Amino acid sequence: MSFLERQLEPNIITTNLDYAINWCRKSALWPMTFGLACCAIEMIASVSSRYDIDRFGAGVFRASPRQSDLMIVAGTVCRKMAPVIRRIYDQMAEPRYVISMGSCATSGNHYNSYSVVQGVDQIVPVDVYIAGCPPRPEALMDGLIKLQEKIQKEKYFVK
Amino acid sequence: MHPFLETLITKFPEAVITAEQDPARGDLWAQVKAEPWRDVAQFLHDDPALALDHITDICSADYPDDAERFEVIYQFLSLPHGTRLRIKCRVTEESPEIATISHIWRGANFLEREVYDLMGIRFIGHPDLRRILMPEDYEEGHPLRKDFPAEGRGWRSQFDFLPRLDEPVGEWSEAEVPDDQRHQFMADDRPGDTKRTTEMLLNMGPQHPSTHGVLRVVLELDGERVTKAMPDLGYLHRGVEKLAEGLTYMQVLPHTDRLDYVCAMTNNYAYVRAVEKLIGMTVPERAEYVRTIIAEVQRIVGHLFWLGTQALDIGAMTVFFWTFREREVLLDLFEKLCGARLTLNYYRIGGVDADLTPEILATLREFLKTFPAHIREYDTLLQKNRIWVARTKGVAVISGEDAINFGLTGPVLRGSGVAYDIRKLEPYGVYDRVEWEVPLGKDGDTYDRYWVRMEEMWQSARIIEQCLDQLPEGPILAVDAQVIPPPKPEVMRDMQSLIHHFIIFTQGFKPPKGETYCGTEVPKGELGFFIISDGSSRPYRLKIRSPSFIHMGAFDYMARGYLISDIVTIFGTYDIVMGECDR
Repeated sequence: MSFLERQLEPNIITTNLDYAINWCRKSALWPMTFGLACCAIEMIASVSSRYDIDRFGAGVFRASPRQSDLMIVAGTVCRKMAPVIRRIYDQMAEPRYVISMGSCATSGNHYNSYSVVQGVDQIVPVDVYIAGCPPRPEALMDGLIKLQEKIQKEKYFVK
Repeated sequence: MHPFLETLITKFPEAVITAEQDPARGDLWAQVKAEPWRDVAQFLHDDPALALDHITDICSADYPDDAERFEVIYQFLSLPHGTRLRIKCRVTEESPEIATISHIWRGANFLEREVYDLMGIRFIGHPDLRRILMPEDYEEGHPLRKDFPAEGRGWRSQFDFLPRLDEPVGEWSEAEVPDDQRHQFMADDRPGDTKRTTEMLLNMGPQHPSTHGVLRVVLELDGERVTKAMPDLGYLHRGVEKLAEGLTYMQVLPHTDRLDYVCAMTNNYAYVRAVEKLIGMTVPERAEYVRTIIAEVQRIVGHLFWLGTQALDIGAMTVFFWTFREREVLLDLFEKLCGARLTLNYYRIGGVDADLTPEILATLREFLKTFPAHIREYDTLLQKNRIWVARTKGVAVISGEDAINFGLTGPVLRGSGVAYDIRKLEPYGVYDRVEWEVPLGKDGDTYDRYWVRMEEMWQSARIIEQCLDQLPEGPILAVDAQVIPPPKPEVMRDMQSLIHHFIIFTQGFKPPKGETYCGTEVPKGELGFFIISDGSSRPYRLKIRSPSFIHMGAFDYMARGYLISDIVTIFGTYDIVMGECDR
């Protein structure tokens, strides 16, 4: 074995394309700063000093839907906000993922009222639901890991 | 009779139907005819004997069985005299119209729009009477009317205002602001500039990182300068006031957590104080101390959050991380206290839920020891920072008179040098038993408001320290079998307690018939609850006077003439929280 081959061997990993692409996608999820209500405060807390969501590769919060792949719907979805959420979702580039954070986004919570959408899944497809009112930052991170597991299982090339 | 009511009756003997002082609660109120209302309002504002210069709230109530169905309720405050007055006017269902007062108190502009939106009462002479909380294409009616179902009239199952998910995405929306609706966002009094050809409308929000939630502002720009800024609210309107009508008094409490979710416990405090005032309940001494301590801790948490986010908006990242570090310490304390971090539900009608343990007291004392050093740390980052000073000094200036006229409260008002703090004016809790000062600004600009809030954190720490020293022993919950659930061990053993427990939790308690307004100083300003009770176990009408909503009424005035980048500063300086603003 030549010197060059010996150098290369420990640095080469054999894998399939699906795995590699999914690994790239899940490791650099860029969420959108999309706080609606109380849950947004916990979303902010999970970015800040103590929790640091960047450890999971999801710390680059972008303000524009065009630059992000993950929409964390954090808060109550109201009648006036629904068209906006839908438009923002449509503006995101594929593949795009949605986390419904908290009971309000998931089911409307105790706001069974004339102006609250009873769950954001009525207007956009949701990948992961997180329970809680509001969910703790740990719960958001757990939801994120769940989403990463889900992304890792996706199949693009080998059906 | 109170001199206020006497003055009013002497001047308008025909217009005033009744004028009374509520014997139990001390509220002054008068029923006034709707036709001469415009003149009466002008008199209330101008007459030096009344000088009701501060508009607190405008609210409406619906009595479907009465001949004159709707009631518009105005809350005023006279800052020179320190007295509140409530005026009520009735209008009929056929012509729900009343004269506007937005030319006298500019803060009435948004409040009247809210009444129009939710109750359908038209204000004659109002400059811009449109829906404010519900979308303008909302066609189901006026939600707060009694014949309107709380769940709405069916849009929740149809979603015909949205494109379907299985259809391809098309250009389903045109420009941000359609051409035929542009006029409402344009300023009327444009300075005559011959070089200008057209104004630019810039839409900001509701999805924008600096708007502190979901707030939309349409800016009319002349170059980089703002000539008009029109806030568009309601993106977080959750209908709490309507929902409260279907809940018992105790069940409303969790909803108040989620109003101003940064400072949940001060909202609880405001609500339980209003209910206690309604039923005439006194709270044990230790509970009063605990409430004051926790309210001030919550104030510190709120101000830390404000400082971090405002600095972040202006571009100082470090402050955000530092304030959140201290905030987390206090959130841990809350967690020990009641098990939650954010939506804390700790205050109860008649006291608090759990006692302060020695561990919590020790943590609190430890925190107070290190906290002054932390505030000095923030000061070293900001106080003389050239960027911070340049971005805040002389930005969004509002004079004391204007601030009062707009109905501003809290640090926003005190930054302009008006010494109005409910904790001093109408002391509650144990604020009259401890030494503290109300910090006041001079210039009414963003820097002064920043300074006021920093000083308030010092004062809060002072109050907590004294309260901890004075903290007496004793019960933390009042004893009233009709209103307050008995302690759990008694419920398990004693038949009588079990019955009370059962009745309170299945039906709720029944306060006496009547109405009351109670304002509380929360970190944002004056959070007031106006409750109308018809003697049943559910509030007939619950109106939340939210400071953020009223502050947004002054947004246009304060933003004109500044740069686009200053808009972000103004959002921050209000310390706005949309949950409370839109309710």
